[in-house]
Amino acid sequence: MTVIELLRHDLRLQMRRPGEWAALVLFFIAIILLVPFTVGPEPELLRRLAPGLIWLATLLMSLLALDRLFVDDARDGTLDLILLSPLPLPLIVAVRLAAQTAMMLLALMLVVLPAILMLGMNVIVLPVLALGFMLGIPVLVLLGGIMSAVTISLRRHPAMLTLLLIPFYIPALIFAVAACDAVASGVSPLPHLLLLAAMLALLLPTAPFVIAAALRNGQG
Amino acid sequence: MSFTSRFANPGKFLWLAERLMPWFAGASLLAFGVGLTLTLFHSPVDYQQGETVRIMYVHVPAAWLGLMIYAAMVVVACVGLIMRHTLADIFCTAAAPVGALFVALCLITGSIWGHPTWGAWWVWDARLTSVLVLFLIYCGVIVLRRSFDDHASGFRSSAILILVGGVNIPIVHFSVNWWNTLHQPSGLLRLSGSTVDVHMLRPLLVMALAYVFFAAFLVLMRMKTEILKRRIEAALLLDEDNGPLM
Repeated sequence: MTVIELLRHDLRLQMRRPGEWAALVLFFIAIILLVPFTVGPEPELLRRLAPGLIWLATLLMSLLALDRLFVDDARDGTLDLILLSPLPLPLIVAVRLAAQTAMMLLALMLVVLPAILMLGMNVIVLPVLALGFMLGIPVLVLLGGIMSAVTISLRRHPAMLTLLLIPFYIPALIFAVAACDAVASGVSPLPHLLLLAAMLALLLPTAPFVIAAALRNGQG
Repeated sequence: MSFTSRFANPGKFLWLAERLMPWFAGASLLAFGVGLTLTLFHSPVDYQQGETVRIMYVHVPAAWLGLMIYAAMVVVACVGLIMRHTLADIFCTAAAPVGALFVALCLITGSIWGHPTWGAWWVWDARLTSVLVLFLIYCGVIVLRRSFDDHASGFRSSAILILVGGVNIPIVHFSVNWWNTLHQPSGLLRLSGSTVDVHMLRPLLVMALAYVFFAAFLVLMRMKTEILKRRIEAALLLDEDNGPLM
């Protein structure tokens, strides 16, 4: 199996379960929908909070999507076969992460526009929000992959994965939202985006190896 | 056989730990006695902070210990992954709650100091946030390690988490310089020399010594308990009649 075939296989698997992604998309919309009822429908307040709320909903959605990375495969035995593959495990992991990132970005493309309209977000923030997604979603997926692999052999409580991930999600969230806020108040968002890019640059080459080691430890 | 490998044997380590523990406890009590006297009666009042400066003597060493224990866990987790000493697992299991305790102490005393000084129990400053993240990582390590029944795979999983979380340590240390938010930068660890007055530095260093001995004592005691607990587990498994499954 070559890498291209592997990627096509992973993407096809994701595409063939559209119901689950539809549920995630609706979950995102549901969170945004609840906001005006929790903080009040004041347009000025919603406009100011919009980037942070969109990122919060994204983070929760990515937590819910995590089981699709390795846990479903561990449950039905596919993971044991993947571990036996002659291809290097970090490569398989990297392809899997890329497919998950692509699907997350696709789902976000669908929901971000309604969310912006519902919250009345300032349109000049949109390019920075999109750039933040391009840099931030891979970070969320890579971190999620690490924690999901570390807990793979456990009969887990969903709260545990959240506890493990939240401290690592916090920096990504800070920089992504700070970039949006900077643009909204007329300052350059570049420093925050660069820090987010630095996180990605740190994780991208290391995470697949860490995840591969954790998966072997969990199933071995 | 090198020194480290010899005491990597749990039995030998237990022998050493039992001899060191009373000394550490005694040294800690002595240093706490001297340190608290200096802190409460023989240290000057800060010209800006007034009497609340005395909270600093319990706050700063707690923060140091919280960071140092995590740094030690990173090194030991690394060694444990490579050399596969069981003692590495026992250290990380035993030290994580102690580290979490010191970070919690740091957050609580900082909060008590912040209320009169900054006018708020909590602010979302870079230093405070990164220390809170450190506390959450400690909690994650503890919860993850405890949910494994198998020691070998439990150690490797939590060691991976410890190593990934190690990224936060330099962030905590440099947060006061990188983000110029509310928390004041360190006055002690500077290339240009300490900016802390010697009358304040002396009680601070004595208190730090007391904390170090106290932490060493706690970690050794918890390691001893962990070793004995595992011996009991192993004995129960061997003796089928008293097996835990009965």
